[in-house]
Amino acid sequence: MGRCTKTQLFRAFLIIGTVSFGGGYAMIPLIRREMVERTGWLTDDRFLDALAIAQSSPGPMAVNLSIIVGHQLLGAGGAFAATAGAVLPSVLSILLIAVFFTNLEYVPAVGRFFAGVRPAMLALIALAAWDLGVAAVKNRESLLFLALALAALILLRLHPALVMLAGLLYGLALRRDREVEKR
Amino acid sequence: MIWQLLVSFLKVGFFAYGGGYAMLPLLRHELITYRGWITPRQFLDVVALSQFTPGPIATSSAAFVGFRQAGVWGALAAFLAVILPSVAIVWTLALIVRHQADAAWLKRVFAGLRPAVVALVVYAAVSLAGSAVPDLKSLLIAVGTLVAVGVLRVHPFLAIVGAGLLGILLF
Repeated sequence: MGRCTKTQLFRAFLIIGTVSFGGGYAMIPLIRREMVERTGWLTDDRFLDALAIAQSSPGPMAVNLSIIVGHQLLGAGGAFAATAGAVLPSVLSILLIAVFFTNLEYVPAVGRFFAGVRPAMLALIALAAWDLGVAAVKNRESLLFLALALAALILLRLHPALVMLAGLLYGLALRRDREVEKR
Repeated sequence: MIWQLLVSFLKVGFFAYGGGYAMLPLLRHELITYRGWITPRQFLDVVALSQFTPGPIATSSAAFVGFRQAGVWGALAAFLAVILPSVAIVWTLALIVRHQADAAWLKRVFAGLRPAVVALVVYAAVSLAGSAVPDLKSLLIAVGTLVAVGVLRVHPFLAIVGAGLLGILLF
């Protein structure tokens, strides 16, 4: 795993924060591309751990994720640099709008731009889900757990917190055998 | 006013779990029903606006409402309040993980959480699908992005900007 500096981390999250339209989950594919694929600062397994922590906590996903990824890489300073980079574009742009306009959605070109961005964002999240799934599913049991969790979320509308709780219990029930040692 | 903003957005940050749209009912209750800071119509505008600006909806609405109520200091107070619970809880978890990095129980917990995490990401995609892909043109953009980024390895930043420009042309 290569090393990064706080400046690099801040710059990377500033770009991620600028283009992650749609909030927390939209950030996942972008962070994975930058931190795992392009720079190799994180492995897929470490990124999955970061996601697990971000999804176990209340509050905005994007903020949780920036804090934990920054913390994993460079401790407290890294968490601060990543979070500042991630939220600065959103806070500045909403303040600009609050000061100058109130109804940006009525500018036709803006609406059409985002009508194009939304399906692309969906495709990126789906791609990230696939890549993370490949990293997370290491045997038949975890595939079964994934399938059951998805069915419960979609069909039974189970609360996401309960799925995380089920994952926690499933993990504790694992014996210290292959699937844990192999990670 | 600053104090009320702090209390309200601390509550939102602490009790909203699941991010994004999971926060809407809580924001609606706190900002409209309880405080009466904005009207339902303004609330819809804030939600719409936060789709057109990058970043999390909770921080966007905090900054917006804070600014409207008490200017720049209000925006800052609301913003810090909404992220403070995240910072405290994620930080604590990060420290536990760092100190227990080699503990067997923690490795097992993470091994169990990984498929749960993936399920939540897939679920996020499934819940977005209806509103993100309402017609054939947007389906084309979605498939085009899949091919461009997944197969041709185009950078996601480029794909997002490209898809937006395509949206201006197509819609």
